[in-house]
Amino acid sequence: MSAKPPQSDAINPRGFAELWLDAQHALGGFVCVHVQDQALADDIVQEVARQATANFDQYDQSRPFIAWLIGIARQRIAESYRERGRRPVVFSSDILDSITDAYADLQPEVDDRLDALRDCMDQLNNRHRRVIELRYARQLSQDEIGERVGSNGRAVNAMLFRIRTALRECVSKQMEDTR
Amino acid sequence: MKLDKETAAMLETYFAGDPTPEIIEAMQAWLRRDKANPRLLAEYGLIDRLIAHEQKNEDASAIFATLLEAEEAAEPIAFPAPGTTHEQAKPKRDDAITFKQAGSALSYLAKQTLRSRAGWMTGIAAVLVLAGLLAFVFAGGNDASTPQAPLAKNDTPPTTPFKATPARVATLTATHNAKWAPAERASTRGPNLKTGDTLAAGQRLNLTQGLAEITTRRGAVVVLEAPCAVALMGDGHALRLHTGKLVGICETESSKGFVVRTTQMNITDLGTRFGVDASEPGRVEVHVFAGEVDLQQADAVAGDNAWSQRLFTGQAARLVEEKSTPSLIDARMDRFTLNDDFLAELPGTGFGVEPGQTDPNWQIVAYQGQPLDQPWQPIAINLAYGVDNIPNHPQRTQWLNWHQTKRTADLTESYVFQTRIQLPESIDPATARLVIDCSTDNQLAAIHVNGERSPVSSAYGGFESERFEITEGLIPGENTIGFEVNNLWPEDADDNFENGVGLRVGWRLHGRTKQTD
Repeated sequence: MSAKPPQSDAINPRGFAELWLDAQHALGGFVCVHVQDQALADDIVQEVARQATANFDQYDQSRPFIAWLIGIARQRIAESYRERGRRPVVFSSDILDSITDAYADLQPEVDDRLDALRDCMDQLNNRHRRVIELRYARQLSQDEIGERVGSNGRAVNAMLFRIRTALRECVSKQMEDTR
Repeated sequence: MKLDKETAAMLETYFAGDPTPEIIEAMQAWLRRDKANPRLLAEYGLIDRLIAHEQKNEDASAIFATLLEAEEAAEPIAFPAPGTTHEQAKPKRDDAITFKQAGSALSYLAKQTLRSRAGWMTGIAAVLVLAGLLAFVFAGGNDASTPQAPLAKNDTPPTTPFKATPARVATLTATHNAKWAPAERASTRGPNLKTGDTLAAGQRLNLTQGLAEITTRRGAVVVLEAPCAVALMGDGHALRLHTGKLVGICETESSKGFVVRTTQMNITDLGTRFGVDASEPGRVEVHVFAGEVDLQQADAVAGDNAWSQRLFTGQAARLVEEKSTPSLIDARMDRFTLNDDFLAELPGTGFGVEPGQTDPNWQIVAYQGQPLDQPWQPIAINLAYGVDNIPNHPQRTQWLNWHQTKRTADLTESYVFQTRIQLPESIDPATARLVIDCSTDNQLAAIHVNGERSPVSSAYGGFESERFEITEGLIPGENTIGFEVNNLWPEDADDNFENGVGLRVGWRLHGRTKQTD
């Protein structure tokens, strides 16, 4: 990484910091819709942060910050597919715009949703907690998780989706209850 | 919104990864069908991200550890008065957060982090991300000649010192016949601990009977063997062992760097399995089953002459007094009770010898199918080929070579490289499994296990690594393992051509401990 001179006139780091804190999870959510590999998703989010920091002077403050970040992320995701020689998962532009709008709507709720998620995760049974921990903390593959919990990769995938669905519904219900 | 079965099946397939064009087409149609659907998909992505955030706490360990250890030491972290420069604001503790490096954005973030419960994890992760990112934006921030901007006026310091809510940093993932001593704090569950319970930063665990397995947020697995008392530190990526024995298993990238602290030394994992025994007062032993660990003199007694030492696979160290340095001893895996998946990395070819030296643990015992009266001693060499598969590491594995080859009529020679390994008595031999990553010059023909020859299918010119598994024929105690390597001559070689034969082996032993009850 090459060093750049300070650009105090062009960059308002405190403004960036505030905006990033508010938007980072929504950005991560967008990336996770397109990239199922958690480590790769982390790399993409980090790369977006790097690019956004370096080009913050180009951010048009009349637009939602999350939309600007997602614009960078869309390019980075496409590049990551090319780098890995994989078939890109590309939705059409109008659909990507509607997903971007959805994240802009969700962003103000993220902290509340995180609180709700903690409560909802406490309600999972031990087996489901174990699967979540193996997938997200230890980042094991579906087959590896299957070996640990006495199942197979396909069943683990189905279980992970059921758990995510249950957590999404639980979080949404808690959000509705508090409104 | 509840999903119908068809939509659920489509989303499940999509999130499994590598969706087909048909699935993408179906997804697009679904996303266009209802304005609520993009929102639904966005919620799935967000849930995915938030679960990951909750589970792995990314790289916040350093700041977490600093904050929580400061709290543990009753040293409140106060923010500097308005107008203070970053250099002036730099905390006096050597290991504290360096605001000077982080810049004002980080200062702001750190403050927000400490103020906001919801942002406490989020913010710290962001601080670390931005610390790296902003370093180049604020290049010169470490330069004493660069003026340090004062903190903004509205960076008003909090009126009360920071007090953290204990974070949930680990999970009790398995127990075997476990009993716990009563909790020392009312906030912890003490004797009522059960599998699946989350564990808080600072929580002390006193296991009086049986075994217990803890998994930290970052994936380090710790098996406690009673009697054992530990306390989780920082973000759970460090643990203080007050007394007893434990085994640390850190096999994922995120779990590397896990630290076990004792009164005399700190043990830092570098991607490994290791055991720590602090059962006897004034004595600590560290045994490395696989990988590497760093030992350092404990903070409390470390001075300018503090020692540090790295241990590799098969090595162990014992420290008997606070002021002494550790002494190397034989690693004893059988002294530790592991979880049900025993694993030990075995010393590979060329282990512990320098290139050019003979390896005393390996011999060439047969040539052209005939036993040799006087075995030949192969020599460790540093070859470039195949290194992308098995790192050529003198403390793990490197190539062994035999140069004194003879040209035969059919241009083919065979050699048997032989060594001995130990299967611990604690392991059930029926579950033992030897996983071998092997490179040969030119071709592996067979593996001999305690005299039984098993032909293998190996690629000619096999400079690249191939994996083989042995699941039969292993016995408790000493086992003799031989690798039969074919060496082939180029058709156009002249009489002066030197055609060495080579073998490189890196291997691991898996198995389950015998059931004792």
